[in-house]
Amino acid sequence: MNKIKLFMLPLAIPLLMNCGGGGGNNNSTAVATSSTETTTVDTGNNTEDTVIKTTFLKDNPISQVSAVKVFDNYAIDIDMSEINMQGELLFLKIVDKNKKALFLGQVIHHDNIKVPLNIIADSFPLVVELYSESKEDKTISYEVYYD
Amino acid sequence: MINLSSRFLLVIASLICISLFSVASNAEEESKRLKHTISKGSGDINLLLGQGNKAISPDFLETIRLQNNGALMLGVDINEASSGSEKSTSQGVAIEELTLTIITDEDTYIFTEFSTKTECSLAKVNSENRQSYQTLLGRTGSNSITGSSLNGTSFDDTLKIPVDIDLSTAVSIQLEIQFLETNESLGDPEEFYDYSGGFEDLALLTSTDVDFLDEQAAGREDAPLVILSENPTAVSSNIYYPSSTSYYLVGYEDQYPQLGDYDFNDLVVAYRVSFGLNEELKVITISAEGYLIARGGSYDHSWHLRITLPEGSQADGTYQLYIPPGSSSGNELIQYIDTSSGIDITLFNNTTSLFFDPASAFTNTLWDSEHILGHKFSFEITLSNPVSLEEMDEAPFDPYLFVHNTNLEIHLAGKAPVMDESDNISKGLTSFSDENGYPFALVFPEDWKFPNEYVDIGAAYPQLLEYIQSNRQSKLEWYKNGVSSGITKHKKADWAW
Repeated sequence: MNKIKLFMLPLAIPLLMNCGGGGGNNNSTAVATSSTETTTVDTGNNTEDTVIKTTFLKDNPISQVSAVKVFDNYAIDIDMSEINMQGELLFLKIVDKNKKALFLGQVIHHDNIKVPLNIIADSFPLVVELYSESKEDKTISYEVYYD
Repeated sequence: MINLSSRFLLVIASLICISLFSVASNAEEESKRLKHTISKGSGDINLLLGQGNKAISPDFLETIRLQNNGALMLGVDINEASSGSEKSTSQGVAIEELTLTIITDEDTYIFTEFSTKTECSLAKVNSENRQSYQTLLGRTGSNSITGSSLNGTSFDDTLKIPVDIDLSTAVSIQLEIQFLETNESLGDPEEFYDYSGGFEDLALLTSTDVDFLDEQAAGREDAPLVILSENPTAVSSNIYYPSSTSYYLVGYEDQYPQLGDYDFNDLVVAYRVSFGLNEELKVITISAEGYLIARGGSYDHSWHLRITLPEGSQADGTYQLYIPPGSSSGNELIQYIDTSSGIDITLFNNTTSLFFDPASAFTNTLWDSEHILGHKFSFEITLSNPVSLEEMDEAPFDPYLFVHNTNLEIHLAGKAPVMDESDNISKGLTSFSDENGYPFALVFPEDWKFPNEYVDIGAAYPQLLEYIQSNRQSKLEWYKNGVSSGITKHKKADWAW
């Protein structure tokens, strides 16, 4: 038990010392949450070491394969050569799964359109719609899943 | 001599008479606000009845019809609740149909043709098929028509109804108008062009006021999918980062190169950017807007947004800073932007004096603090030469902090210092993640609620670590699952004023 406390102390000190506030004199206390777990692991030599696991980012060095990033750049390629609309004006609309518009506007019939987006992983499926001003033209709509 | 004096007095008297006559004539030709309004998307408007039950003469309508080249021009005050990307600076409705019925001594005439300056392809409610509808755009409190009875009102857009009969003998002129009920479930543009309760005020406009409103083009800049009825628009589409209705939230640790408390709230700013594209899908405008949300540090900062452009690009535009309601800090200002080396604008300068809580050293980061509204910015930049999307800087661009106390810049990981006056290069601080891979600035979705003061972001969001360690394959919604006691209670509705 004492061992656990000794491990927790170095974690607690920087939390209290390195406040980003950098000198604020307000006495309000933070409502901190406990994210610390203690697990016992078998190291294979018949001795048991206690390891402290926390969800604090600064306690968990980031491996080379991962990065702290939330948004990703993602380009959508749209093949326009197959689009056959009667209307004079062609419109393209791209929305995320929450129907938030990522691209909206009039386009001309390029062979191919590449639209660079910056989205989060749970934005998918995106929905691409192509339509014209003519009520004779049905809206072409399809979903795009993360590739 | 007397004769000369008499002649002089006669000339003066004549000039006064002419002036009085002119004033009387101009007074007759001022725009007139109508009594009836459009409510809940429809209106039955008597064009011979002005505000305050004042009668409007058929002669007046005939005068302005002739003045407007054979058309009745109506001013419309757009007054819509925000939905979709609608906001106080840009609101819109679409017109489904309109009937103008004119009864004279001799006959009854029906007119259904009309036009506005803008149109959009929209789907009607319960339908997903779109067709073109004329639209009306505006913004809250936009108008500054002076020298007419509309002075101080907020008329936004114009509606043109061609009329080819003499109105001076009319005994009744009645306008029925119906806005389009759009299929809001499709999101924008339908959600933007829906109608709410209104009321939309109307006015009969003189040609002078028509010109003013048409030139003003209130709300057009931020409206989605605008097609100009008379001239092809330069901007024909927009890409939105992160979307047309949401913001990036960027949070900083200002103790750099120390990690600090790692709560990412030393400064929190919301921002979004859109590129206006021409028909060739090349970028011709860049616009952005954002808010100060929280300041959880005592250091003084300046917040910048940098968007690099290809070498040799020329751009100019304007930047505006808005003071929040109830605040007296900082000055509302408009600055001219002229750049040939990319866009790098100081959008919030001296954050400690701009954004403070009189009751605390921190602003909006203590768990029990009252919410303080932050300043808002917007800018619109036009590129002299269109730039292809491949050549443009990638979102979320380079939102960076300059910390006055340390004289250091803090950028997103992977970016480089850019300011000549900072000490980053001289101190060898050119990387913005530490030896363990920790960043000092992070960009989040707007659903993310920044941690309360002193709460490590990993404690506030226990799933974040697994999200990172899985190389962003699991716990994708980590930012929606914060520990309620560790994150701010303030919502977007609190800061997006």
